[in-house]
Amino acid sequence: MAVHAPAEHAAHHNPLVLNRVGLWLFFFSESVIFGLLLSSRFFLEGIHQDHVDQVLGLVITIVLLLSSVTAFTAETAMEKGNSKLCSQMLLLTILLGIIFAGGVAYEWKTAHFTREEVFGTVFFTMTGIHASHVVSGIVFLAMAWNIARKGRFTSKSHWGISGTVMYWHFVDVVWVFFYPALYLVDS
Amino acid sequence: MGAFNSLGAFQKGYVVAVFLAIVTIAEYFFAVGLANDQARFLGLAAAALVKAWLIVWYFMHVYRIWRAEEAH
Amino acid sequence: MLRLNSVFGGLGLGLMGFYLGMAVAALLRWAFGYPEVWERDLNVSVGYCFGLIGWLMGVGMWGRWGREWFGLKTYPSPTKGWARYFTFNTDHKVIGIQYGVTFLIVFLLAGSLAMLIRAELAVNELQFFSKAQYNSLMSMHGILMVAVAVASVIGALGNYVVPLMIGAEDMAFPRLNALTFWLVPPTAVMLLATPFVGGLETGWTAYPPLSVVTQTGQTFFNLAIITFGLTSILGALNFIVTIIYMRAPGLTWGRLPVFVWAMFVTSWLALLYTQGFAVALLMVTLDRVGGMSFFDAANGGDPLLYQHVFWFYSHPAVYIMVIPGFGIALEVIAHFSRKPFYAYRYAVGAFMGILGLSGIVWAHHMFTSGMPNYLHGPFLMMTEAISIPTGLIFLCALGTIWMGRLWLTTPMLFAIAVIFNFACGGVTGIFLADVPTDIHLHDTYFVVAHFHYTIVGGEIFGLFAGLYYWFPKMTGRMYNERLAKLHFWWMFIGFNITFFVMHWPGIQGMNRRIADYPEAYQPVNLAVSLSAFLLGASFLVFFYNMINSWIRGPIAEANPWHARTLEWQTSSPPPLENFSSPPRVTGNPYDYGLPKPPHATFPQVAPAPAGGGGGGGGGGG
Repeated sequence: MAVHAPAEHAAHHNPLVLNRVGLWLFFFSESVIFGLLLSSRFFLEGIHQDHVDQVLGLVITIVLLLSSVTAFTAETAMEKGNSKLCSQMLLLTILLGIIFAGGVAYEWKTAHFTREEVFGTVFFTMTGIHASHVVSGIVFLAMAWNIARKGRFTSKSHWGISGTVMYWHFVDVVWVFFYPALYLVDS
Repeated sequence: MGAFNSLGAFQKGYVVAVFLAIVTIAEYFFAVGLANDQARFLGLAAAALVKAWLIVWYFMHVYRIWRAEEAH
Repeated sequence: MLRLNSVFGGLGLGLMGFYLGMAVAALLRWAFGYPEVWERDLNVSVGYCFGLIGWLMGVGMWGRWGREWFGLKTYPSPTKGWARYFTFNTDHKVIGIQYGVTFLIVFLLAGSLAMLIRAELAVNELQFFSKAQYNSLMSMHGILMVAVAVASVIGALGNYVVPLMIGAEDMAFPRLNALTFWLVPPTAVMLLATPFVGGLETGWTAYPPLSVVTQTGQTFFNLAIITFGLTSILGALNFIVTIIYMRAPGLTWGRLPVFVWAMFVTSWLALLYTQGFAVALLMVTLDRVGGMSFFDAANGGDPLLYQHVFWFYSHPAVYIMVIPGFGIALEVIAHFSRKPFYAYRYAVGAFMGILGLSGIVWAHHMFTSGMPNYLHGPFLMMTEAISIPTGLIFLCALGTIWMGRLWLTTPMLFAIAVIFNFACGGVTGIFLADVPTDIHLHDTYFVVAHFHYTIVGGEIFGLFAGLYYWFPKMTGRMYNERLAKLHFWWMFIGFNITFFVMHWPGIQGMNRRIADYPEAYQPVNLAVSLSAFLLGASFLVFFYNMINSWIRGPIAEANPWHARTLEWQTSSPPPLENFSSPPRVTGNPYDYGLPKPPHATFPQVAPAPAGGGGGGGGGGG
C-alpha cells in the first residue's frame, strides 16, 4: 500500500480490488448454496450411498484437479506476459473441463439408481448443479480465451483471465467437498 | 518452507498440484480401506479442508484481498 | 441496427427467448425419445431462463455490458430525459427511483389484495371468492408484500442514499446494480401471471408436499423467487463492496451514518441467507419437473427438509426487512432530536449482534412441525437472546430522543412510530418464541398480527419515514407537510386498531390462511376489516401527496432539514457525479449542538500536486 501513495481516492477506487473482493463475496454466497445441498444430502440420507463407479469418480476428480493446474498456469503465464502460453493453457483447461463434464454425463447414463430414489435425487442434484457450474465455467473460459486471442490482455491488466480462472478454481473447491460426500463417505 | 518460497511462480503451482494429488489418492485409499464410519467421515472432512485450503491459498491467491500486490 | 436499450427491446427479445427456450426444451425431449415433447412446467422453466437472458440483453445490458465479454466496445447510459428510467441505466440515483416507483406500485397492488382478503373475511361464510381464489389472493398478498419488504428500502432508499452518504460518486459495480433492478420486472411478471396458470395455493411459504403436487402457478412462483433471490444477493454484494471501499477520505467506520451501518449488516444477511429460499424452491422445482424425491416421503424423502432450508433464509429475512427500518428510524431520530447520537457504538454492536444470532434461530417457526424435541430448547433460547440486541437499539433510540429538542416533522413521527410499533411486535414475539405458548398460538391470527406489527410497524413505517425524509433530495421538490401529517396519523391509528384487535381471534384459536371461519369470530373480524379499510384508505393520501408534490411541489432547498450528513451537502437532486468536488470527512455525522467540526468539507481541488493547501472550503453543517 505504501509503495504507491497518490490521492487517497485512487487506492480506494482501484477497480481490480473492487472486482476481486466482489468475486470473493460471490464465491462466499455460492458456497452457501453448495453447503445447503451438502447438508441436505446428510439430512436425507445420512452417510448412506448406493453403488457408484469408483474408478470413474477418481479419474474425473483427477481430471478436474489437473484442469485447475492448467488454469493456474494460464493465469501465471499472463502475469508474466506470455500470452501464447496463456491461450494454450486456457484451451487445455477447456478440454479437461469438457472431459470432466463428459465423465459426469457418462456416470449419469450408467447409474445404478434412479432419480426417484433419494440417493439418486441428491446425487443427480449435486452433480447436476456442480456440472452446470463446470459448463458455465467452460463458457467463461472460452470467452476469456477469445479476448486473449485478440491480444486485449497484458501482464498488468488481465482481470478477465484472473476472474475466470478464480471461478474455475472455485468450481474445483466445490468438487473437493462433493466428491467424498458422494463417492467415498460410505464404502 | 524456505525452499518452497524460493521457487518460481510456475513451479510453486506444480508442487501444490503434486500435494493435491497425493492427498486425493491417499483420501481414496483411506476411505475404501477403513471400516469405522465416524473415523472415515472425519478423515474425509479433514482431507477436503486441507485440499480446499491449498487451492484457495495457492491457486486462488485469497491473500491478495488484504495484501494489495498490484503495485508491481 | 435495432436499438436494444429500452423496455421495448427487452420485451421483444424476452418473448423471443421465451418461445425459443420452450422450443429448445421440446426439441431436446424429442431427441432423447420422450413420449411427449410438451410438459408444461419443464418447457416453461427452460423458456423462462432463455427469456430472462433475452429480456436483460434487450433492455440494454448487451450494449452496456454484454459486448465487453466478447471484446467489443460498449455504449454509455443516457444521462438526461425521462427515457433514462426505462433503460439499463447505471446511475445509482436513477436505479433508486426505478426501485422506489416499482415497489410502491407493487405495494399498492398487494395492499389492494389485502383489502379483498378483509372484504371476504368481514362476514363468515364465502361471499366474493371461492376457496381456491382466496388461497391465491392470500398467497399473492403475502409474496408481493415480502418482496416489497425485502427490496423497497434496500433498493430504493439504499441505492439512492448510501453512495451519497459515504461521499462516493456511484456504487462499486454500477452495471451490476442496474442488473439487479432489471431482474425485478421478470419476477413481477411471473408472479402476476400465476392466477392464469392455476394460481398459488400454498401461501408464500410454499410448503411441500402441496407445493409439489399443486398446479403450474407454483412453478412460475419458484422461478420468480429464484430470480428475486439473485437480485437480493447481487445487490447485497454490491452494497458490501461499496461501503468497504468507496467511502470518502476520512469517513472511518466510527463516523459512518447509522443507516449505512444498517445497510451494511442487512447486506451481509442477504448475501449469506437468501440462497436458502432459492435452494428450497429449486428442490421443489426439481421434485415437480425433474421427478425427484426430496420431499416425497413414500420414496424416502422428507418434507421437513424444506422447512429447515426455507426458514434458514426466511427467518434472517425478517431482519433483512427490519434492520433497514431501524436504520432509517435511528438516522431520522438522530437528525430531528438535534443532539448527538446516544450510544452509537452500542447501536452498531446491536446490528452486529442481530447479524450473528439471526442464522441460528430459524427452527422457532417449526415447533409444531414434528422436528426432534431436543431442538426446542436451544432454538427457544437463541430466539429470546435476539431481544438483547433489539433492546439495545430501542435504548439508543430512546436515549437520543431523551432531552432532545425534537422537531416533529412527518419523518420524525414515522420514526417514533417505528419504535412504538416494534415494541408491540417484540412483546408479542416472546409468546411465539416460547414453546408452550407457541404450540397454542401457532398458525393463528396472533401470528399474523405479530408479524404485521414487526414488518409493517417496523419496516414499512421506516420506509415512509425514509421516503418523506429523502423526498426533497430525490425529487428536488418538497412534499405537503399537512397532508403528510394527515397520512401519518390516519395510517398509525388505522394500523394499530387493525392489528391490535387481530390478536384477539388469534388467542381464541382462529386459524390463518382459511377463507371461512365459525360464526363466533364474526364481530371481531368485522371490526378488523373495517379498520383495515381505514388503514388502506390512508395510502390514498400518501400517493396523492407524493404524485402531486413531485409534479407541483415547491422547489426544495439543498438541505431542508439542516442535517449534517453528506447527502444533504449537495444540490437537490444531486448532479450526475453527486458532489461537485470530492468531500473530505472531518467529524461525526451527529454532533448537533456541539462545538465540533462539520461532518464534511469540500476542499477545492488544488492545482499543484504536492502541498497544495486548499484550506477547508464551505459547505459544512
